Amino acid sequence: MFFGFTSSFAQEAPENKWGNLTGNAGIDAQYYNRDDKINAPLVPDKFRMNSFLFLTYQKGGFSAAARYEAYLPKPLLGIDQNWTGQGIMFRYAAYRYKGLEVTAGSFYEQFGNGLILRSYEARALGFDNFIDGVRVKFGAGGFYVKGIFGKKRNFFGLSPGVVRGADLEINFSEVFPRLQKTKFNLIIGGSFLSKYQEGSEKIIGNEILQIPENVGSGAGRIQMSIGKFSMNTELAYKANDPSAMNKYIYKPGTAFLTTFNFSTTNFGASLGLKRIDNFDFRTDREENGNKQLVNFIPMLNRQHTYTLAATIYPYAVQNMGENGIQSEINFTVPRGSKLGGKYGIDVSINFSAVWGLDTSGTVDRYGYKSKILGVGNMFYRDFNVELSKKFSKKFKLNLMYMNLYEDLNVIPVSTLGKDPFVNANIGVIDFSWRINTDHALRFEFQTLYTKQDQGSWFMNLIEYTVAPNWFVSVMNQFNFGHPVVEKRLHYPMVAAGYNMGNHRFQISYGRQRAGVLCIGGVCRAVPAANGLMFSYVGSF
Amino acid sequence: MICCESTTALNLKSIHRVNFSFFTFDKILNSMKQFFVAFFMIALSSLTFSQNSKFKLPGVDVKNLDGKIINTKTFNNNGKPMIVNFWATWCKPCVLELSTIADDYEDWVKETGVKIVAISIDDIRNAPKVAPFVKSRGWLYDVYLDSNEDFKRAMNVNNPPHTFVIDGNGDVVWQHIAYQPGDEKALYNVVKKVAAGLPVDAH
Repeated sequence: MFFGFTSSFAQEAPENKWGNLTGNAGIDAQYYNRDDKINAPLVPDKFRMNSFLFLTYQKGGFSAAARYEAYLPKPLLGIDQNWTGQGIMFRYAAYRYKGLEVTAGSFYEQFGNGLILRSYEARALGFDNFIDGVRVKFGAGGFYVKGIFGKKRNFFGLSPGVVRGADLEINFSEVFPRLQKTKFNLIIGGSFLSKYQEGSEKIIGNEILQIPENVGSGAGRIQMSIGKFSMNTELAYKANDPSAMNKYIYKPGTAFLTTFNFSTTNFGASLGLKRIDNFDFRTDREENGNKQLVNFIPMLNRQHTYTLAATIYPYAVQNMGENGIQSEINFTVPRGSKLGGKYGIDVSINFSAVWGLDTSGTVDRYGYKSKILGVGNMFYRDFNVELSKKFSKKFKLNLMYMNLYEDLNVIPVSTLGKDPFVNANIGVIDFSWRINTDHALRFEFQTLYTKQDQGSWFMNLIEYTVAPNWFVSVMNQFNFGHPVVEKRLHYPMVAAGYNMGNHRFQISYGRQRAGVLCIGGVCRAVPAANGLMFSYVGSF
Repeated sequence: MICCESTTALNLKSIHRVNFSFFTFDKILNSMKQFFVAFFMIALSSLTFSQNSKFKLPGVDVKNLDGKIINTKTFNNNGKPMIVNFWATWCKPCVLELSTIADDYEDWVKETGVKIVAISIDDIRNAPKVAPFVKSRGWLYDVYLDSNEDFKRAMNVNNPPHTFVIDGNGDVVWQHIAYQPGDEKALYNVVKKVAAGLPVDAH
């Protein structure tokens, strides 16, 4: 449809009279082998592929885009199989004139921190919940207003419910320009969102429930900084919203999120607190999992990147209720100091913990009462220290130690079932050697020690890169501490890739360990697999 | 090597178990057909459009570290080259790239007048921690938050790191996906060419 617009806007701006057409594309394909040892079954469609092509056209204030997606003949294993199919779901046309912007079609939006509204995409997880409808944004003199109306995406269809809402943000440094000369900065914002879903009477046991068709929610936020200190706080409320997730109770939901920061040259510290109570919000009250989510509750623990730390016992947010705390300190041991050496040492220390709510049940359909300052059982705890030291232009070393606790009854990321209270210690050594300006080798050694669940793991990786085009890596994960001797398995994987400027190709072969992959706030279970993988991404 | 031998053995086993009746063969053929049609469609269109034409920075909203909304159209470096780099606090190669460049950044600025605009795509889980992260490392880049990923989408970025070079006229003349040690050399060569007003092989 946007090609039509291309010609009608043809004669304007001299430097680029046809406007700009740009895009990107991606392919993830996998061939699956049967592997009885790791419980990877023979799958009916052994070739599977997720792919997309995204095109954007822009000319002056006008822009339009469309994305073709194909999950053929079936999506990769672990991705929701409701994605099977192909077509163009995402498309929009937008016009921007000074502070005004109008979008018709698909868009991603977030109010404040996303506690009551966030639509976003995490392609690797098979997650996409853009809003299809209309959005109007206007900003002038420090006042920013947004209004949205539409339905959320639900695979190759749309949600049964409708969302509509508005957000206002006021930046006082822009409203009162005199403030810009001070070290004081203040932004306040507020938003309202209502969800409508046609309702019917719900019969639970021998009760007939009147389900509210409209669910209103609101949030207020404040972001403030004074010199080196800053603070970002949001408080949200949701009216009663009986749903499958909360077992049809009428208790309203609340959410609170705050972060305090202190930062100065070579030192930064942050403290985050949150409390979530009955805040699962969906456009379809009967849904669960990652489907039809309206809002986004962020995790407060550190987002780990080393394989064993990131994928064996990750944390998943409990939208039904949790209390969380996180603190982090980052600093650099200065360059040229005795300890820091020529390049200094980057140090990062992080602690986080999550507990359930302190609740007591009530007999009516209100559900439960919760103490605002009380905490329940511990769900998760993570303490980690990371050091990064460059010895010379050639040698660099990263060390990480982590201690974690996770209750697998609450966060069922592993299903072995024996002793679900996992205590684990993780150590990582990551050493890079730059042989010359273009050739580099990197070694990773990781161990996860635990007596619970599937026992201990060891992982090693060697990566050889030749800038700017090639990389080859060999990796193995070994479950050497599994309580069942026959299950002490190796998961080897070889990979090679080629970068061609803005195109990247990668091929890998081996065993994939069953685990949980998390990006941003969403996680998905990755099943055990054995096979050949190909991936391509490109921009143009 | 033990590991790899055992995988090969398993592959052979699985091939013997495949039952090639007409029904399954047909089904496999059909799924392969669908697979390759979509594959070639995407690959072909990606190459067709890949003509590497210059383009201007699109105008979308991002936030600076004080929370102020800034339109990306306003990014400029007074006629000197500019690097726009997409990164995230959780992205190891991104942090490695920005740290490596940081060691030489002052020289780059002196020699070419280049400015680095670092766009963090961290979502709200990590966005509040970006300022202390950047400060603690002493990075001197202009850092912005693209939590809603509007700029990322408008620039056709798939995964970080993704680096763009913009010339003095505001045209994006070069881009690169991923970071491998040594890539900063190619990047700086492009910046030097742009600063000298020489044409750049756009990739």
